[in-house]
Amino acid sequence: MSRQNNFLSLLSGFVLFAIWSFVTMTGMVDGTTLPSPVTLFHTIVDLAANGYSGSTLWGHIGISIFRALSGFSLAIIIGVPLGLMIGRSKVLESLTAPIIGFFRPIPPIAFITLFVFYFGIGEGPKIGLIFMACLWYVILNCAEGVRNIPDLIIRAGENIGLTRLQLFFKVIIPASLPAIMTAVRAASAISWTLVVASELIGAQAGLGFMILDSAQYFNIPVTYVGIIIIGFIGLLWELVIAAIQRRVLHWQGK
Amino acid sequence: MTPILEAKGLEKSFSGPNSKSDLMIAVQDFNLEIQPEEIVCIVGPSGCGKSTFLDMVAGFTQPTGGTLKVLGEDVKRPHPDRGVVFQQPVLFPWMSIHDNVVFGPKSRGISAEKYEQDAARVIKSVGLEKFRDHYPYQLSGGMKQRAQIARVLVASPKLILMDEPFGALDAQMRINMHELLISVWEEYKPTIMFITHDVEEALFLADRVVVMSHHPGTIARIYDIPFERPRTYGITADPRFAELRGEIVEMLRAKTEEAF
Repeated sequence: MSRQNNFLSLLSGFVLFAIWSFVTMTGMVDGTTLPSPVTLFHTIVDLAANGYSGSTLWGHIGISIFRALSGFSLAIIIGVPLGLMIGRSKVLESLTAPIIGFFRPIPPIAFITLFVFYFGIGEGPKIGLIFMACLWYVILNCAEGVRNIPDLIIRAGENIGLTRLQLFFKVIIPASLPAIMTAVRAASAISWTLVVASELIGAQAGLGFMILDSAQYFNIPVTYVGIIIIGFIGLLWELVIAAIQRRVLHWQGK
Repeated sequence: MTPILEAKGLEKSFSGPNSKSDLMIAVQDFNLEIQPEEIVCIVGPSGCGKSTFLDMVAGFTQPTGGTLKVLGEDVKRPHPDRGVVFQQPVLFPWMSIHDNVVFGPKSRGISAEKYEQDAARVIKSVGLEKFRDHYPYQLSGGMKQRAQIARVLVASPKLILMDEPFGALDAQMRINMHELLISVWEEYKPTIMFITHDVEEALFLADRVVVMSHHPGTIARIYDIPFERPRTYGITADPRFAELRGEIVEMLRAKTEEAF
């Protein structure tokens, strides 16, 4: 990105912050509806010192990250190999297509109450929900990645004398890496997005719980702090994944 | 002496999209022998079945009739003994040029000492020593084709199959690649089967030029090319060169018109 673009990005962020400060500090907007930056700062200091509803602020952040990462990691560990195999095998594709085709378009939130009914209100259903939402996406993207590998590159592999196994591990997997990384990136975004939804299921801690609980008691500053923390962590996580992606796919020359 | 390649009554047909009776014959009654160290160029209008023939020799597809032997053995599957230089620059993009070249021998369990030595030699022969650690995206089209040639050469193939390898390059680069190929041939003396639709390219490189006609794809005529080796671009000014070119171009045009 050029210097000028960086400057523009900083500028728009600053303008948004300035408008927010102006309307809240001059009393144009009621402070209990939209808290001012100063109020939020005090709220953060208070939350950091005293926690919220029986957990420290770090406890809320930690448990949310734990749930998102667990669901996300499980989806990657199971979804990537499954997707690669489905992309390679017409039989597997035919077997799984109707199942994935049916479940994928259903919003995962529709399953929340069922999950509670079957699995209770522990960590299981929350992680399960995130896992399920990520899984379809990971499988489909990886399968598509394998199907899009040019025939010629497989022929080139056969021509230099690779066995079927060598072809799968040393040509098909690296050739699908761009698709795998796209899946990882999307799954990470989905998992973080779904944390709030998963914490609707009888959670006693977590950023989602903090937002829902504080909103119910009209403690709006805490709600905003929760949202802002979720935003920052999401942004940071996205930057980390993008950096990993650039690293792994350096050979694309982008 | 056993010929390197021997095709007798070779046939390849594809079933049509609708039914089995809807046969499309790509290659028919194809007879060709290629002797060791020969460079044979196959020219023909596009769609005449020359690439289909190459695919069968490479082992990517199976003939539907006749026999196809390389060094006396039926061709069953792809093998580095029949190394292919593809028209598109098909390198493994996640590997450096060096790693692309050693990938084959390494995977076949050849000792590191041997393949490193071979790789260093072939990379030097194609003039890519300075680029051995570069990735494909960092190379020009011509360099990628050099790298493909090195990847094929490293296996000391019995027969190198080249499928219009320089078709996508600009004229000057193409001339450089012809000179490079000739120098590689002088150094390693491989047998080469080269497919092209460029008659001048065929005349410059080949010991024999095979002219194909299509519908069905078969050999129309085989020309012996009289120019002695080592050749330089000077031969393109030779009156015999112009005469042969005129004759082959005329023949290709007549064959193409017949088909319509």
